[in-house]
Amino acid sequence: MKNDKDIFSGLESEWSRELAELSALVESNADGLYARICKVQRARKRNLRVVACSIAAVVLAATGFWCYHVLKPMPAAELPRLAALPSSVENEESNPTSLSLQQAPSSPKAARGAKSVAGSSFDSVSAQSPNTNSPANIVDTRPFPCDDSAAPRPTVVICNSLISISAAGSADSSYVRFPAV
Amino acid sequence: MLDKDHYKQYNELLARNHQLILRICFLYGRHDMEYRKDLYQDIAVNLWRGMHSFRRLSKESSWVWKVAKHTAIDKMRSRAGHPDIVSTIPADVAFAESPHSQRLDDILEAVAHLPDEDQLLVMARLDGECYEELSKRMGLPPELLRKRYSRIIHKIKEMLNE
Repeated sequence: MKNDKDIFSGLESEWSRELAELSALVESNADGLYARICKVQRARKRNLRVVACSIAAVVLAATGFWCYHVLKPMPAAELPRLAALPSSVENEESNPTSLSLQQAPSSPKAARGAKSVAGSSFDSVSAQSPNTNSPANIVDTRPFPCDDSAAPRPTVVICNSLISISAAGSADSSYVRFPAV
Repeated sequence: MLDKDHYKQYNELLARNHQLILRICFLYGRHDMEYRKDLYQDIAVNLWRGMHSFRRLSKESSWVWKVAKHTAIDKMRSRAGHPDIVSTIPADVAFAESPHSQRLDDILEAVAHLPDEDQLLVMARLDGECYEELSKRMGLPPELLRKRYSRIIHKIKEMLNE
């Protein structure tokens, strides 16, 4: 403690006085401090808004890119083929088991169009309930004009916007989706 | 404009650490009250900025000390390119100080060159805190603090004589 007194003796009061002086000066300037803090806060909010807008812009751009490149519109060449599909599809969404014989493709032209999709001849066209997975209503059992009786005969099932085509005696089937017209 | 609760917390933090910030202002205040006042405001603003990210992993006083010290050093650096502030203010303001005040400023300038813990120890002793109180605050035995303080005083004397 001897050293303490050597260096700080007589300075304690000076120290306290100066501290009090600065403290009073700082307190008299409290309004200035408040104004500066408000300014800082405004700048921070502005920065947050800028960051939020930037993120939103990036998300929008990414969504736009995805929509343009992934969800491409259907090629125009596909439309005539879709138009040639039977009109029975109209009511198929609401009640797939209500397809009737009269609504099945009757013209050879339409049938040939369907045949080209399957790559083989057809034996029958039937509607199928989506829940039971069983044929609900056989709508056409006549062979198509270009039928080759020696070839295996596939089954065509129309159900909920899907045309299922499977080879005779096979569990595997291909699906073609078409929109409700 | 400001969140009232947040501003209240900030004011409480400032009140708790008022003395600590004043000490820093004296240590790095360049013998000038106006500069010290500005420095106090800069420190207070930086505390407001940093309050949101303070996770209380360290003691509040340690965090305040660090923020205050870095602000003071940054301010000194930013003024380094400009003419010395003491030479730009009127002589009656800059030098109308008692011999005691001059000596105190010289000592404080020397203290500013010490490590953080030594600075805290010297300032606390200047404020009149006893070793027992300091021992509780710093988590060191009073005897060790006494010895360390003697060594610091010796070092300050050497610095003042140079």
